[in-house]
Amino acid sequence: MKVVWDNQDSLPTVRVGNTGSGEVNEERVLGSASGMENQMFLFTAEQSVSGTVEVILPANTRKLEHNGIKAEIIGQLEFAHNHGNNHTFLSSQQDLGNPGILTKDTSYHFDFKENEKQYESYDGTNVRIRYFVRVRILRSHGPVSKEFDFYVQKVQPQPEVNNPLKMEVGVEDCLHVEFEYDKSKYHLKDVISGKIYFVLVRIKIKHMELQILKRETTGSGPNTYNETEVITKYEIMDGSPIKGENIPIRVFLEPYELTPTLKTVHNKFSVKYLLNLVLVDEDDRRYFRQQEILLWRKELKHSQNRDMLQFAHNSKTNVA
Amino acid sequence: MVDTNNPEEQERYFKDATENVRRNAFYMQEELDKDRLHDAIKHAYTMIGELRTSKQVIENNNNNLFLCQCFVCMCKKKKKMMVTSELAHLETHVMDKFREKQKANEATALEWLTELYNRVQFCGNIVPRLYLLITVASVKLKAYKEWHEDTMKTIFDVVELSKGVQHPTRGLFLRNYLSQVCRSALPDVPDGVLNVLNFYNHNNNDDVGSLDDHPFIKQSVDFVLKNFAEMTRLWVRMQHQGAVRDRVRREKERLQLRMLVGTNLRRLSELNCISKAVYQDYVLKNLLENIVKSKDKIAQDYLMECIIMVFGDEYHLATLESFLSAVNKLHSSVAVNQIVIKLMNRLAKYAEQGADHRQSFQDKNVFETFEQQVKEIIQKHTKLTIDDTLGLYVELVNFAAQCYPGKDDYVVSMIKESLHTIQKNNNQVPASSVAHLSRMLLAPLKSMQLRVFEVKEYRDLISFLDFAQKRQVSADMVGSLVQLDNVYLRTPEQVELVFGMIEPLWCDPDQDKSKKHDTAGLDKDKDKDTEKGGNVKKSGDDDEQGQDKDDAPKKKDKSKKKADSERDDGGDSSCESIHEQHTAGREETKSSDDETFENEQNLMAKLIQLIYNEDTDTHYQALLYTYAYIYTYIYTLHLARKYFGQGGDRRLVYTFPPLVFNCLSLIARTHGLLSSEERSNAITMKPKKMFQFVHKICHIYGTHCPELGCRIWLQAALAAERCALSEISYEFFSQAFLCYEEYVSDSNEQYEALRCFISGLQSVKNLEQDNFDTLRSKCVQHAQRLLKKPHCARTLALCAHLYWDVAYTPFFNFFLHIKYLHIMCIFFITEFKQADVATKCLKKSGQKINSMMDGVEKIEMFVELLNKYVYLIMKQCPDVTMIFPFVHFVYLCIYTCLLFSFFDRFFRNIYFYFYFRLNCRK
Amino acid sequence: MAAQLALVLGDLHVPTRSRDLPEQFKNLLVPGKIHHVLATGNIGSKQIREYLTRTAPNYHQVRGDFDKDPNLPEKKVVQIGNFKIGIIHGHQVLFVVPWGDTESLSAIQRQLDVDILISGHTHQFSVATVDGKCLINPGSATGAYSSIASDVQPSFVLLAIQGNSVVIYVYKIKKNGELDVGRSTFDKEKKK
Repeated sequence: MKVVWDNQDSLPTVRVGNTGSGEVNEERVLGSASGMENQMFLFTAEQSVSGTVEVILPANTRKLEHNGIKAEIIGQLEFAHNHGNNHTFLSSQQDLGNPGILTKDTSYHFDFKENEKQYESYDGTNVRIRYFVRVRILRSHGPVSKEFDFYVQKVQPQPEVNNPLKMEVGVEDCLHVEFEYDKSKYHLKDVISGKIYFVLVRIKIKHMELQILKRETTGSGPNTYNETEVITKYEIMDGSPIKGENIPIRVFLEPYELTPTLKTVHNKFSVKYLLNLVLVDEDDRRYFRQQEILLWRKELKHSQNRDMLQFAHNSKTNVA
Repeated sequence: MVDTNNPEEQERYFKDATENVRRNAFYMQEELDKDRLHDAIKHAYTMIGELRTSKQVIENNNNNLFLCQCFVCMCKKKKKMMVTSELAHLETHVMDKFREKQKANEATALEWLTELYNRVQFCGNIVPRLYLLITVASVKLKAYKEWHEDTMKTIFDVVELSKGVQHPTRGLFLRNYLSQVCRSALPDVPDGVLNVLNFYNHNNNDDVGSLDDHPFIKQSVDFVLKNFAEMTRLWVRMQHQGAVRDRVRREKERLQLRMLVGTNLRRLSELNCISKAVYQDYVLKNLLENIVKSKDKIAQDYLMECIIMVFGDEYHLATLESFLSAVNKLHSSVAVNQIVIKLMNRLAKYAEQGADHRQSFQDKNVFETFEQQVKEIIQKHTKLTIDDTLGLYVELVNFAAQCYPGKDDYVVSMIKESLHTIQKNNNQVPASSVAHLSRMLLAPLKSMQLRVFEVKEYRDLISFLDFAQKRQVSADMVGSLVQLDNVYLRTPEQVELVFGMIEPLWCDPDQDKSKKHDTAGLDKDKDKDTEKGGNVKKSGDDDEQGQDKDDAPKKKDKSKKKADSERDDGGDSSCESIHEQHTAGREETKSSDDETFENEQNLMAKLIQLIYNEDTDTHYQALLYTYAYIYTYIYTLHLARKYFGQGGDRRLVYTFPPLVFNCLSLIARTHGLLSSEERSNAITMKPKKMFQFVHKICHIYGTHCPELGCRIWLQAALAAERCALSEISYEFFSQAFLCYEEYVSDSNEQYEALRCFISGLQSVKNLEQDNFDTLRSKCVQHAQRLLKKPHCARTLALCAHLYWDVAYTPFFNFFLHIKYLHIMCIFFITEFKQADVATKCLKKSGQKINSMMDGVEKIEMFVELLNKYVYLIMKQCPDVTMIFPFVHFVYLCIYTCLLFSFFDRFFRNIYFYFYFRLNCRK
Repeated sequence: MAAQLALVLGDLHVPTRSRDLPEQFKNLLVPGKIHHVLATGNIGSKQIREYLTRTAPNYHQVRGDFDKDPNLPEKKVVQIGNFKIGIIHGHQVLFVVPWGDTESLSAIQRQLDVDILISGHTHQFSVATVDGKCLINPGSATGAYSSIASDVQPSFVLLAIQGNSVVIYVYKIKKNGELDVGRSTFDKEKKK
């Protein structure tokens, strides 16, 4: 994200640097939905967000008069279809400097310690959860402010109950399939493994794939918007099996950009993941069955090899 | 979309696809060179993807044949070869990289490999994903120095995941690739049979260990079995692909791909760990289960055959019961008889290889098992034709003959069964079963030898064949009989049995029958020929040829004609057309038929030599029984003659000489026995009697082929001479001359024959003086009458020897050799030597030569004649009258030679030699 | 230069007097090793003749008294290496029981002007040197019956010709079935 400021050239720039204890866990995360490569810094939910703001005077400015410098930490929900109507769920402010005159470049330190970050950062189609530090230089003819985004991930505890998912599906006298996923809850680097039993096959199947769907629900009541995105199509069978055949399923979640399942964030939106098993017959008829799975974060997402990401990306586009 | 029916489009499509593969392979190699593995994998992925995209294009067209061809083509010839060989590059690279890392740190290297293994599974498309997975897996298999749990886990993981490809063709190729890659990496017992034993004995003391003690090895067997089972399923399923109307084509495609399935069986057979016990208890059971389960004709036909072919003979012997019981469970459309036949054949060949092999058959009731099986099949499968049934019996006969050489009753009982089968079928044998009958007649010969002829049913079998077939089979039978060692026709009964069966070789087809159906034109020809053959002996050769010409087509189409006329008595028109065909194809038929005939008769000649009743190895022992043997021997010969009489002229040329020579050598033997053995008076059949027999057969013989006849007479005469039977000898000589005078007309042949006579006569020593005189003067007479001058001159010169011969006195030879020639002449001037006649002969010869026109040959002749002079003078011809003609002759020679500048050679070879020897003597 | 091998045999009389070449001989006569076959006649059937022609690239045969083919020559002269070899069957020559008449043969040898004269007919193997020339009779390769000799043993001769020397190997099958190999050498006389 890039913010265009008014009178940008004449404004001082601020670099957010790392200080203190947060250094170890800070990792760079690549990419965002917009495709812009943006480097952001990553924080855990409990971690204090601290840093130094350097106010650099524009080259031709000798002095800067201001009414105080403030830093704010803000966590907010942003909705694409309802611009400007953001919902801020976290907000805390610190004073960095008292009103006065700056005659040289000056650094200020800020530190937001006690602010629990409730949600993970999320960058979806219609909605996003955004964290940033806003630095404001108050001035008489309007403040100069800049927002510095950072990223938050929340490690979640292992679910206590994790039952396998079993399902039957069929078209009468035509197809009867039983399938089973080993778990209902997966962490983001988990492997889905399972099996499909073909109890009855009277159609000529061309191939079968497992799709991972992400469903973003915003709004409520009549204004509910559902946005479903196909994260991947993973072919698990080629050709037509006969009765009694069982086909293994194994899908690595690691290469995909997944987020943990988000349940009703502030009653405003939710993100769900679904497994969609699709059978395509020779006449291109599709038979499918969706099932929700729960994704949770076991650990912070580590940096990934570029190659691999591209590789996975490539494979996605290749699914015809 | 590709139009599958348009070859141009196909071509273009293939070109594109191949180009893609090639390009990606290039990129992959490039990335590998730069050590960028992941980029390389990416290109590999796209490359293999070509195998997949083709599917989509084609499958929509629902043209399975094309799909299959694409795949076979792409996988086998073009792409797959490219793809898999490119994947091999990738594999090598990964392997190298792994080894490199392994040197640094074993654990991290393995970790890296596992990660790679997981990572290739990120690929979205299943076919390329699995190809890549197998490639990485193959590195993983070889990663450990020793067998490791992880290895087996990987193998089975891949096997399991491969299930994802349910498309038959692609699945087959994928699994084939898997088995190919795993081939060298599977845990197995080290090479060598001994090692296998040691290996199993290592841990437990049982004779044969079980696989359960060696989990890794068991797993590798399981892997192949599993892969086999899956591939079989895929293969069987191919038939359900595509539209029903394409079924025939699909079956064809399936047959094309069977090798892929069969390869698994080969892999199994290559595993050392599969000992006989393992095979028996575990592997075969599993295989058969799967095959039976497939319930598919093509699969069962092929895979059962595969098992028979791939595994060792001993294995089959050990598992006979279970294999056969599986055969019973096969789909009803499967040609079980063929499977059983193949197994029997295999075992029969095994038995053939050695006596120790045969021993293992003795221990088990293999034959009974097969017999039982065959009976079950015949009962159960009502659809079996008589052809199939006979086929089974034939193989049983062959099997029994090969595996149980001593047990004739097996063979006999099966022959009886076959005969019953034919009789049940109203004595009808379909044309397709002729081969079976022939085989049945030939199979027992080797093991039972002549004993088989004593079985009536065996002899009856041949009656179901038509003449041409009988003829063929008979020739084959004799052919194999004469190759056997120590097989002799010892008794008249045996001769009767054998010759009775092979009738077509020594007699023509029933003349009456064939004549009846001949066209009028052919009839006439035939009659004329017979007449000529019977009476006009002069041009015997031509007659034979003429006869052959007509015989050949007649015989060939006899059965056809018979059928024709049976259907329609007035079928003249059809006969007419056949006749025309004959004339057209006459030349060809004639030459090939002549050759067959000649071969057959040569075989007969060899068969006659089997008539022998004495074992040469135990000669002295056998002498004790000579009396009885000789008696039956002669009887045998008589009997044989009885049959040969019917054969017709053209056979005589082939069959009489061996008969005569057989008898002559018997005479020689008898004579030897008579003169040496103490109990010689026990021999009642004296050579004299035998010579009467020889005389008789020669008499018939000589008229048919006079040139040969003369020589045979001569041989008989010499044989008699050697037995000191001078009267008989004289008789034979006279007969020879008679034969010569009456029948030999060709001047060259006359010359040849006469020379034989002279040289034969010259070796004689026991003839009465008068008889000898008569014979030698006959020689001179005939010599003078020869048409060509050189012939005449040469023969005359030769005759000189008859009048000046020193050959027959042992003393003379003795002295000849110690070079006291000049003393000897005084002692051995006998009444046989008539120097004047000898000189006269030479003189006449010289005159003949002198009257010749041709210069060079003339010189040659002179040289020859001079040689004779030299020879005779050296042999001390005392006649003074000889000197003058000789000197005259020499002068003549020198003169002629000078004329033709031959002097040098003449001088060196003759003249000089002559004086040298003379001087030497003085 | 390697020795040239010439197989010398005759009087097989297949199939009139014998069934076939003895198995032991057949095993010896592997195609590809022998360069010449010199047959003295009375070979017999077409098959056996074809068998012999397959044994070596060069096949020479003369006519024996039982050979029906009138196209066969009565005598033949073959040059192998430095040796001039004459072949005749021998029934035309006088023979003296039981040795064969060396004088007669010498006469033919002189007439043909050869170094080695090969003749058959007697069914008895013999090698003799007369006046510096070699006379060879290979006997009968099948041990066929003969009116001249009794107790014929199968035998043939193999000539290894190298330079001015020839090694004569005789292969015989003895009565007990054993193979017996004899060896002698004949050197060409230097011209005076």
